Amino acid sequence: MRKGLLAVLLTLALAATSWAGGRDDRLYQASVLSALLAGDYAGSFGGDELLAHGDFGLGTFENLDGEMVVLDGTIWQVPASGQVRRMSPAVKSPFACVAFFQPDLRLPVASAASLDDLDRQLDAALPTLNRFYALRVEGRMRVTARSVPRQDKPWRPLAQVVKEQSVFDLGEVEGTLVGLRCPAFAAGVNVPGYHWHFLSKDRSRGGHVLDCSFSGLAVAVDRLSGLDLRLPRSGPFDGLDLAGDRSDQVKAVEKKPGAAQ
Amino acid sequence: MTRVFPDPALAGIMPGYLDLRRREGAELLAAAGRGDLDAARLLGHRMKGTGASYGLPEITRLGRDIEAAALAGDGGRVLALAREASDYVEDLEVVWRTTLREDAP
Repeated sequence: MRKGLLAVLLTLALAATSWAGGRDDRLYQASVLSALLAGDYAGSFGGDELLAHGDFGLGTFENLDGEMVVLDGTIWQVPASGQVRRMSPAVKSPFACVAFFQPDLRLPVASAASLDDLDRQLDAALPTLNRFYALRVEGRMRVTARSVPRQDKPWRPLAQVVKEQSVFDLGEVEGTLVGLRCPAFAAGVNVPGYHWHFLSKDRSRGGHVLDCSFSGLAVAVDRLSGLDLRLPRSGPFDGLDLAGDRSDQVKAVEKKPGAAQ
Repeated sequence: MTRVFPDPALAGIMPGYLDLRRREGAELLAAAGRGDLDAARLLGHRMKGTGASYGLPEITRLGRDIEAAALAGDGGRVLALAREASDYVEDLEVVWRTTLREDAP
């Protein structure tokens, strides 16, 4: 695990000469998923640092205070109360991923019956599953989302915290799906596969997407040229035991309440 | 001189942001000068995404216009906007408004 992690710590400079963003069109990631799962909720990264490296992305906040959506250069917080707030770049984060979103292709989706269905369709349509992608879907859709409650020290592992998550049935709502797709080899560093957050057009509702459905929309895809991974400079990170397979924990924090793993 | 009044919570990070804008502004001028519209488009796109969060919508407007001009292949317009963006950042006066305590003398 550690060898694998160290290997991915290196910036993955993948050839991308013909893409919209060129060779600098990388995913900028603050910390690793394993640390978040282990309960490192220290605000090691500033919102200003995130915005210097991307205008589009997702993550969470210091003390796990809700879901982060970065859209068009603005950081939005969806706390457990569901009351969306625009956040200052002075805000802190323990884990986030951003990119400067520049679509390389658009994939029309005639109908997505569920989030799993959308993910399957995208997997079939993307040119390769061995790269990082940022994905943006705009339009009217049915969304179920969640957020997590702010935590006090001692911080508990994320899989325990999500048992207390707030689930929002947003119904039919106009808005934007902010998504990332990470390749399977990124396990431990990020969520392998898709990770979606949502923000309504009126910026009043959102969260980590548990399910969604829509018809007649298109997915704008930014094929990213690599990963720029930064590790926390302070906080509990260095003392964490990040060895071992956490795939069961990832499934637990990503799934709908009551869903089978 | 353009005077702006950002959120005081940004006081600690605004200098770093403006440094970044100056550095990328120099890159933008260089790209525009040599007619590298692809690099100018990318830098304009980045500018566009940053201004609003720092209370500087003019940065966002200039970034959007630079990106559009680069996409349209209008190198002259890109260069003019790059100069405008550089001048805007150099002439910016950031004013931090503070609230006096009611019991202050």
